[in-house]
Amino acid sequence: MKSTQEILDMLRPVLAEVFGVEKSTITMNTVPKDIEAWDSMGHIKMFAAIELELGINFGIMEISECESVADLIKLMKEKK
Amino acid sequence: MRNKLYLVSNVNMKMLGNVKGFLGADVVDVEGYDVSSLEKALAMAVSGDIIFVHMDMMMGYVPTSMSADAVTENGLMVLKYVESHLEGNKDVLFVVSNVCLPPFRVITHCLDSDLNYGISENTINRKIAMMTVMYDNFLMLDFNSLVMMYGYCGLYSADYFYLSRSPYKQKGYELLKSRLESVLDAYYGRIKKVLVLDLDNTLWGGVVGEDGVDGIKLSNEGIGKAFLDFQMCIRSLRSIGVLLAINSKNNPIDVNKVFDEHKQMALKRDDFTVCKINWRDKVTNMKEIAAELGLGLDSFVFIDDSEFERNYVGGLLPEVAVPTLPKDVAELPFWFINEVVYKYFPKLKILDEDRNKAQQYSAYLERKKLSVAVGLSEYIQSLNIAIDVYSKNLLISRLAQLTQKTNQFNLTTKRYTETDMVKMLDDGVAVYAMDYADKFGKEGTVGLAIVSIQKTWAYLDTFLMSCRIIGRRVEYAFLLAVVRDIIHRFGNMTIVGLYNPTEKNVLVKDFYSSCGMHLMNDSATDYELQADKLMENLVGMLPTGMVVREK
Repeated sequence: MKSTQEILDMLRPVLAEVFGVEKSTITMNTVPKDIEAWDSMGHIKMFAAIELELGINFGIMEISECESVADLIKLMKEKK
Repeated sequence: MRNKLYLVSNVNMKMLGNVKGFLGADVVDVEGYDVSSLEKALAMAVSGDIIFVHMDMMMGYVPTSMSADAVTENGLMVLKYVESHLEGNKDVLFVVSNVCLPPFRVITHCLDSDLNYGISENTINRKIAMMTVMYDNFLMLDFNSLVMMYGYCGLYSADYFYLSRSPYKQKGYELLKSRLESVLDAYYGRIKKVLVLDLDNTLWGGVVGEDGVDGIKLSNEGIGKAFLDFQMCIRSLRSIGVLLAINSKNNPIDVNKVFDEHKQMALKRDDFTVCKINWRDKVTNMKEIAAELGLGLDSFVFIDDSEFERNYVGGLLPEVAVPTLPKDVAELPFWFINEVVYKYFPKLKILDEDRNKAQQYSAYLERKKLSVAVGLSEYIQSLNIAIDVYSKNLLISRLAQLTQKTNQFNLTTKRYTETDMVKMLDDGVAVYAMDYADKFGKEGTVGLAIVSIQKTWAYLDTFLMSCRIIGRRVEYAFLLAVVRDIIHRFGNMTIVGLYNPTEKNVLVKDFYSSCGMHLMNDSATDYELQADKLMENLVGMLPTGMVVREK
């Protein structure tokens, strides 16, 4: 299983690209209100990009209940 | 200034923003899909802008209680609105997606109980297809074929739809974007002309020099069938005007044997306009192919299974498009259609010119051989050249294509669409076409002059000739016919020859001065001369034996 840090490192370039921010902006503590582009549409774009770039799919409940980078990493740990 | 692309859709298209490098146009999401969204887009659009209308009927299908008639009515209403604004907005381009049949049905196997299935979609698609034929500024994006190719499950995402009304996976948006680019590339003439092919492990499996003619994989069975189908795709591409060439490291004797003896070769030796089969490096071969055909390297796509050769050619000749082949041979035909044909050779219409293209280039090469054997002026005389210059019954689609594709013998390199050309004719601009024929065959329409008359000046806005007929002094005959007609129709005006230097048209830098025209005051590039004087000069420059007919 991948470590939290490894998963964060995988996510960083994808999220940075989707939200148009520096990779360093994305940390374990990042929540939507920290990033301007992380609105409800940005949320969907993020999951769509993760699906395409990292090949990981999420269900509708997982997507709607995910509220932070920490949640996202937890979800991804469950997948792998 | 960058053009704008206005997006009108009944579904959420914001995920298109995730797709990198969009189209070279700024995308403006109008949001919404009804007559008022279209009105909004039309009010904002200026000349050169694009309005993209994307209707997706699929998701709405599940919960809808609308009758088939109502669904049809809804779709047609938008199309009719677009149709009523096409004539009045000729400088705006409309692209509309067609729609696909919905896969959701509870009636499972009893197809006969739903006689209305597909009626709405088919009616709407028929209307869209008809509009593409009737209007020059209306194009169709074949979304239907995209869904057929990649499948509903491959493109759609229920999650994203229920959460945000975005019906597609990111892959779906990327494919939509690349199809849209393909349609626009075809419209603006951003297309390639020549497909250059390697042989071993590209057109057939194995290495002919080692495996022998009977040992290569090319058949109706197994892997051989994948190569055969790939050849069939290439052959049909040739039939719509793409030239083929070979650039391979082989013994010519081995390859000749394959052409002569292998029963399954779908491609014949004559299908290739130029063949470089030798042991030299492929960059040198590539340059020679370009020189022989008289085309720039940016007209070429190079297909080779070897990564080394692809990197070598692509690295040293960055203008050449070098797509990466799939690892799995079975994917060759699918890959070829989606990654090569849609990307580099898209077409909106097949013209007669396209069908005869390969034959015309073969004649061109024959002429070149002859010109080496005898002196230039004798050679020109021996060709029995006859040109027709006319300003009525013009083939607008071909003339627009010429402005898009001609780079070398093109004095101003102004690019026009069919819509632009129609508008110019409506505005009374004089447009002349030239058809060329000689003893080797007809070249069709290969010259275009656009003359704008202002008071006592006649401006040569465009003067171009296809590179196929460069070097036969035809340009002087063409200009003569044009000038003669200007005098006849408008009087003895001052002819102004405009020259706009580009990277590729150095060839014509001195064209106007070679006609005895002189530089205008305050200009380093534009020339002028009184029409009667120019006519006198040109008459003296006509090669003997050339026939000039004016209609």
